[in-house]
Amino acid sequence: MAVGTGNIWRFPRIVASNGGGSFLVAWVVFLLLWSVPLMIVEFAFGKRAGRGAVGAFEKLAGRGSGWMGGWVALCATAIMFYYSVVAGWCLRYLWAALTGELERQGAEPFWSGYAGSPAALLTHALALLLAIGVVWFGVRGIERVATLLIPSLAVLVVILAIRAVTLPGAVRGLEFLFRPDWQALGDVRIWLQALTQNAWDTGAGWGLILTYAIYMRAREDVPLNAFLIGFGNNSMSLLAGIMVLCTVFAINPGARDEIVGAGNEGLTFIWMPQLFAQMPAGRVFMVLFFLALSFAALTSLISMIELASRILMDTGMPRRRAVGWVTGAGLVFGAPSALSLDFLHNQDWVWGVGLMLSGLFFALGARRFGLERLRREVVNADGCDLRIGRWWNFLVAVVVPVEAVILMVWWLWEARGWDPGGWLDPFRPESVGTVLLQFGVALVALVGVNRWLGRRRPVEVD
Amino acid sequence: MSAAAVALMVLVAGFIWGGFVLLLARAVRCEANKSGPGERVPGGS
Repeated sequence: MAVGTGNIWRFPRIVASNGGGSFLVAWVVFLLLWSVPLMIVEFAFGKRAGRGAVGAFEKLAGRGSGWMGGWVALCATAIMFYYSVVAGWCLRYLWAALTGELERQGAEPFWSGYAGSPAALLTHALALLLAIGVVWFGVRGIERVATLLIPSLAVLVVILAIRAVTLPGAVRGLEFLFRPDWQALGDVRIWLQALTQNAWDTGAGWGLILTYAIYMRAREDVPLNAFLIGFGNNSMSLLAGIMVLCTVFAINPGARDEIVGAGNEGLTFIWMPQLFAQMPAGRVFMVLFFLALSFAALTSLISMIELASRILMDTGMPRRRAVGWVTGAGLVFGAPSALSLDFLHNQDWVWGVGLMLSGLFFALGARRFGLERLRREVVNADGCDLRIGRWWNFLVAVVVPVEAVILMVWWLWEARGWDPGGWLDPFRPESVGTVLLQFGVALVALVGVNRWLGRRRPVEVD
Repeated sequence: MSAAAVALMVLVAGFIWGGFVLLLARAVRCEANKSGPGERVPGGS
C-alpha cells in the first residue's frame, strides 16, 4: 500500500549521495523513531473514528481540530494532483519500452520531447482515470487491485535486483551501498536526509493509512500492521537501492556521480533506460522496471484518491459522486504540473515540506485525545498479538514533534542556499517564499472554515 | 567487498528483511487464528 515511486527512484539516489552505509544506519533508526510511531497513530485514528482525516481529527482531537485534519487531507490531495502526472510518465515509458520507441529515439530526446508536452497531459488523464476506475468500485475494488499489484511489484523488484547483482562488476555497487563511514554519522545532514527519506518512503503522517484503517475489522491488530507496513516498505526501498546502484556500477561506473546527481527524473527517465540499453536482454528488464514503477505509482495514486474521496463521503456524499468530484479536480489541478516541470517541482517542494507539518499534527492530535487512552483503548485493543508499551507515548509526545519541527526548519534553511538572491520570492519554484505563501493561504482558509467543518461533522460522545 | 561492508549488509538487510519476514509470518498466523471475517468498526463501512 505504501510502496510508491519514492521507494524506487528517490531512495537509491539519496543513499548514494549521503554516505551509503552510514546513511542506512540513520535510516533504520528513523523507521523506529518516526515512521512506525506515526503509522500507529494513523491506524488508531482511522479505526477509532471511522472517518477520514477531517472527521477523525474533529472527533478524536476535539471540537475545533478539524482544520488539522483538513491540512493532512489538503497536503495528500495536492500531492495527488501532480502524482497522477508522474504516474502518467511511468505508463508512457512502459509503453515506449514495450514498443522499442524509447531505444529508437534515445532516452534524452524522448524525455525532452515528452515532459511538459500535451502528450503528458493525456497520460496524466489516463493515469487518473485508471486509478479512479478502481476507487469507483469501493474498498473491494481497491482490495482486489492491491492484492494483484503489490505482490507483482515485489516480484518485479526482486527479479530486477537479482539481475542487477548478477551483472559483472555489480559488487562495486554493493560495496558503495553498504560501506560504512562512521565519521559521516557525525554529519547532521545525513540524519536529516535519512529522516526525510524514511518519512517519504513509508508515507507515515500522510493520512493514507488513516483512510484505509477506517475499513479495518474491529479485532485487527494495529501495532502488527504498522510494523509490517514499515518493514515491508523499507524492504522494497533496500531492494530498489541494490537494483539501481548495482546496475549503475556494473554498466557505467565512470558516470556514477552524474547519475546519482541527476535528480529523480534524470535518474529514472534518462539514465536508467540508457543503462538498460547496454545490458544483455536490457529491453526485457527495461519493460519490467517501468512496469514495477507504474504499479508503484498507481497503487499510491489509488490511496490518495480514496483519501480525498473519503473526506467528501464523510459529508454524506455518495461514493461515486465524491469520486467524480475528485476526478474533475485532479484533471484540472494536475494539468499545470503536466504542462510545466517548474510547476510540478514547485508543488513537490511545497507539499513535501507540508507532510512534515502533517506528521506534527498527527502527534498533536493524538496528544489531545490522550496518548495513554489511545494506546490502551485502540492500539492495544482486544485481539492484538503485538502489544505496545509506554515508550510509544514518549515517542509521539516528544520525539516526533521535535523531529517534525527540526526537519521543516532545516529544509527551509537549506532552500535559502539554493537561490540566495530569490529565496523569499514566492514566485520562484523552489523558494522559501513559495512555501510560506502557499502554507499561509492554506492555513488561513482552513482555520476560516473550521467552524463549518465542525458543524458538518458533529462530535459524538463515546 | 570489504569485511565492514559485508557486516553492515548482513546487519541492515537482516534487520529489515528478516524483520519483515517474521512480521509477515506472525500476521499470517494471527489471521489463521481468527475465526470468520470479523466485524468491521462501526461507522467504517
